[in-house]
Amino acid sequence: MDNKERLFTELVREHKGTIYSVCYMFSKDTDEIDDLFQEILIRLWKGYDSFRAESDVRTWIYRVSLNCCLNADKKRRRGGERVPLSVDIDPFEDTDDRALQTKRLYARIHQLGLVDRAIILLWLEGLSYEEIGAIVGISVKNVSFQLHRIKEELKKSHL
Amino acid sequence: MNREEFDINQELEQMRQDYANLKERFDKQQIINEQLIQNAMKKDARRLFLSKKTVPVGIALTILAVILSRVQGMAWWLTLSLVLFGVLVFPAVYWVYQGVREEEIYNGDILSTTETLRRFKKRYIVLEAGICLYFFAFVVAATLFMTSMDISAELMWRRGVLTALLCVGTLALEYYFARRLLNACDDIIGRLKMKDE
Repeated sequence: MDNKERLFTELVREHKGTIYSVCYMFSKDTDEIDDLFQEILIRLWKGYDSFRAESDVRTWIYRVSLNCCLNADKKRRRGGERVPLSVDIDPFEDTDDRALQTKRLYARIHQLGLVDRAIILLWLEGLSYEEIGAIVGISVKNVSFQLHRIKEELKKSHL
Repeated sequence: MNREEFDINQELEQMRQDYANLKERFDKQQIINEQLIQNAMKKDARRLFLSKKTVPVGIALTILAVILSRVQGMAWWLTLSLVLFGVLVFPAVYWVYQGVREEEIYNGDILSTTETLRRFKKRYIVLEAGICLYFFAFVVAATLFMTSMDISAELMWRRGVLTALLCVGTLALEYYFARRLLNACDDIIGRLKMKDE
């Protein structure tokens, strides 16, 4: 393994939880998570050279992950070799106490459209409006507007 | 703060807490295994765009076809139509793929990536329509050139109608499959530009 591959592996290990969370929020089952995770890794590796070190690595990972999930949803294309992930829990089947929280969160987020899901996910991650704007490609003012609109939608669905 | 607002803020706070717990659980998982990493570094991403080799290979094939048509002693109009196809289609392919670099497109923000994908898909449909039209014109021209070679008017019409149906069917199918992607792109762009415009 050369230096570039080693650095990439370290980077992916550091952010694996983030990538997995994004995949989970855009998937319907564990097979779909496996597919998306694999596809995101490939795209991250392909874009690793063009990724500029001066830009925030977290922002880059979110951009690639969300673009990949949104695009997969547009096309709904599946197939190819699937390598199972090394995950001991099944977020769709788990039945412990915390699974209830997970299912509640999943249900709330899945009520939203794709873009709204991406924005609320970034907000839940605790990213600043500037960071969300940089990932989505909109102004800070627009981020604020979008979040307000999403909250209104959540409020409506709650009633 | 009224009761309703208080409820939604509480709800959002609950969502944040649930998300933090979920992330904590995922962070504790191994998730990545050696095979996965190795595969990612070796495999190609799903081919969304034409390979860079397609254009040079296409040009080489056109030249080969032209040479073969001459060696085989085919009619000049057939050779010319091959040359014309090459002259027209390769700049069109360049136009479709202009500004679309597969390695970099997903590194862009969501809005610009969606706009690029949408532009690419629309241009791709235009290119396909152009190729269908060319194919139709080719068959019509071929039929006209062959009228002197004992071909009935009825057969000529049948051939023309069949080709037209094939072209329209191809385009309809392409539009049917592309519609989902275009609609999804329009929805994303529409929502994100709602405030900025």
